[in-house]
Amino acid sequence: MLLLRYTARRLLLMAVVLLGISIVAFVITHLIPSSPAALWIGGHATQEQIDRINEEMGFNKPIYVQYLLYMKNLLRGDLGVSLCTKRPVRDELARRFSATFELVTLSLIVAVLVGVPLGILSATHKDTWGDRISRLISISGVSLPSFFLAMLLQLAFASHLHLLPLQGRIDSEILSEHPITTITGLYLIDPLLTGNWVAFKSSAQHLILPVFALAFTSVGIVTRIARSSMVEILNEDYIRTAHAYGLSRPLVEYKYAFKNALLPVITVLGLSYGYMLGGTFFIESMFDLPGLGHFGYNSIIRNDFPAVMGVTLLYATSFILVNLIVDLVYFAVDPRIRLKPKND
Amino acid sequence: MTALTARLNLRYTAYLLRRNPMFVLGLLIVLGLVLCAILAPVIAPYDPGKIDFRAKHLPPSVEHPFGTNIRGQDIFSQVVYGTRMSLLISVIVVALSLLMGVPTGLIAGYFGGRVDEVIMRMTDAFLAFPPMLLPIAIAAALERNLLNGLIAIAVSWFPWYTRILRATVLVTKEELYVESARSIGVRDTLIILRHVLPNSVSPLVIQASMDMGYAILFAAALSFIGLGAKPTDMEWGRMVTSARAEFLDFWWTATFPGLAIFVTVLGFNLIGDGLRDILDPKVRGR
Repeated sequence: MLLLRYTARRLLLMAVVLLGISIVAFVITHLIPSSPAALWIGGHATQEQIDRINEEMGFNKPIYVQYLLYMKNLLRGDLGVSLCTKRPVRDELARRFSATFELVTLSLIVAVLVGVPLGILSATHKDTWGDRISRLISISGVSLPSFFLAMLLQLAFASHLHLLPLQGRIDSEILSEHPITTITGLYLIDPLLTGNWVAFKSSAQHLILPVFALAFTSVGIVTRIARSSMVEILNEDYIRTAHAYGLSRPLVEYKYAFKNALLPVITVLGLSYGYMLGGTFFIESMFDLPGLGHFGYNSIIRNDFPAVMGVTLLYATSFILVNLIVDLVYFAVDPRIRLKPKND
Repeated sequence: MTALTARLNLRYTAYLLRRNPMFVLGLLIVLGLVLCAILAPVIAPYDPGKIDFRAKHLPPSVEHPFGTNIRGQDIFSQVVYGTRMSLLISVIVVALSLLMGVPTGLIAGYFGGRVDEVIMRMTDAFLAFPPMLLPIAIAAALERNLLNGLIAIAVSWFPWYTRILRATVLVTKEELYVESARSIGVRDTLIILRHVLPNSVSPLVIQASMDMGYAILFAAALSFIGLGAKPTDMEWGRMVTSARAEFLDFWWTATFPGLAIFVTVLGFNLIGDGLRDILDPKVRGR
């Protein structure tokens, strides 16, 4: 019941923040100095053509009228038309969603599976060389530009060692010989469901480097938070008491400390997810993946503002949604939060 | 800076440095960079902009420690001169963020009430964006050059500063010395500048020292999507990006400028970590 009320309050708050975001994003994308009409026509547009397009598309209306029109359309699920591809932005986004979803989800899983054990081990072996190395790794994670890491990986594993493909989502020859039946739209899942092993192998191989590159920053973030929270927990009185009772070290560390140390990790996952969304612009374009980030990258280069707006809104919305989920999970697993007075 | 100076007496400092080798490493890196920036004309063996097509794509050697790029420019000299641009980027972004973040944070924290409410809801809208997305969107909307890229980063960062400062101001303004200053009739502006601000800056100093590095990282990222430095700018991210078409055949073209970014950001991060240890005794030893 408490959870339900909390959820309702958060959903309401989310709607307000979303409205704020849509205003900020719209104003930003409409400050673009270049003429959208000229871009729409392409090549050498005459003034007459530009005026006509401006009239038709409403580019010459006051900005608040444009925003209201945009919001009216948005509520009907209409994100406008991409100035470059001349197709509805909604369709462009829908077509690219699954590639990004796959990439980000896998990266998040990797970040947790690598970061949590690394951070916990680092804390239980505090001030040893292993701890120092793991700290260095976690600081490196947040210090390395993701596109540069992508280049290094391509250089080492694709270009020199020939272990993994350089870029692309799947080998096109394999795809034509072993076509994938679309069920979920995910290139990693669909071949599995249909037993198409050749396509699955190729698809998985193409994901290894991008996932590693995208996950690396978050591995750093997760390791760091897991370590510091575990160190804090290990200093708690109840842990000392458990030790004093003569309980074995693994039992104390993994049964009593570990679970509590995981709580802050949950909150930092939301932030990691946000970093990854930003990272898709770089990783997807470096690895030539057909996702939203690559689309966003191309749209920015071409000043395609309805498309930029679409990606921005979709990313911001999913970021808020993920943070909402994170908060709800936190609320559900940590009873202390429910007891706090709510004056955040 | 009373809280700061009190902690910075020599013996204590020496003790802290011994305990924190990573912080020393960070300091050495950043000091090295500053020296490199000042002495760039002395260190760099060539004019970084000089084009020599006969010398293109030379691998690293004694004459060209980092090799040469497609235009035959000496990459080592470019990286050395790049330190100037990078430090400038750090200073500009952090200064702009502080310029916007400090007043808003002070006002929100000190006066509270409706002003606080408005400022906080504004920061909510900014912070609801995924970290890299807002600078990209703002930079894309402005004319494409490095300064606008830096402004875009600062605009999307300052709400963090606002929040961090506000949180400490909320505590500091309840301190006894603030109370007594108020009771003898000192003006608000003076209280804020003389008492509240100096005793609230520690968390901001930590954040700013880390952000010096992240500024370089973000600026490089903007260059990568064509929203930052121009092709002629001696900026590391731009150098890596320019090498995008050729680095698979000539690995050194992207590797050295990229490593320069990495080492620099690492240095600032280590300093930030160490400062947290020194300025915030609560987390010491963690």
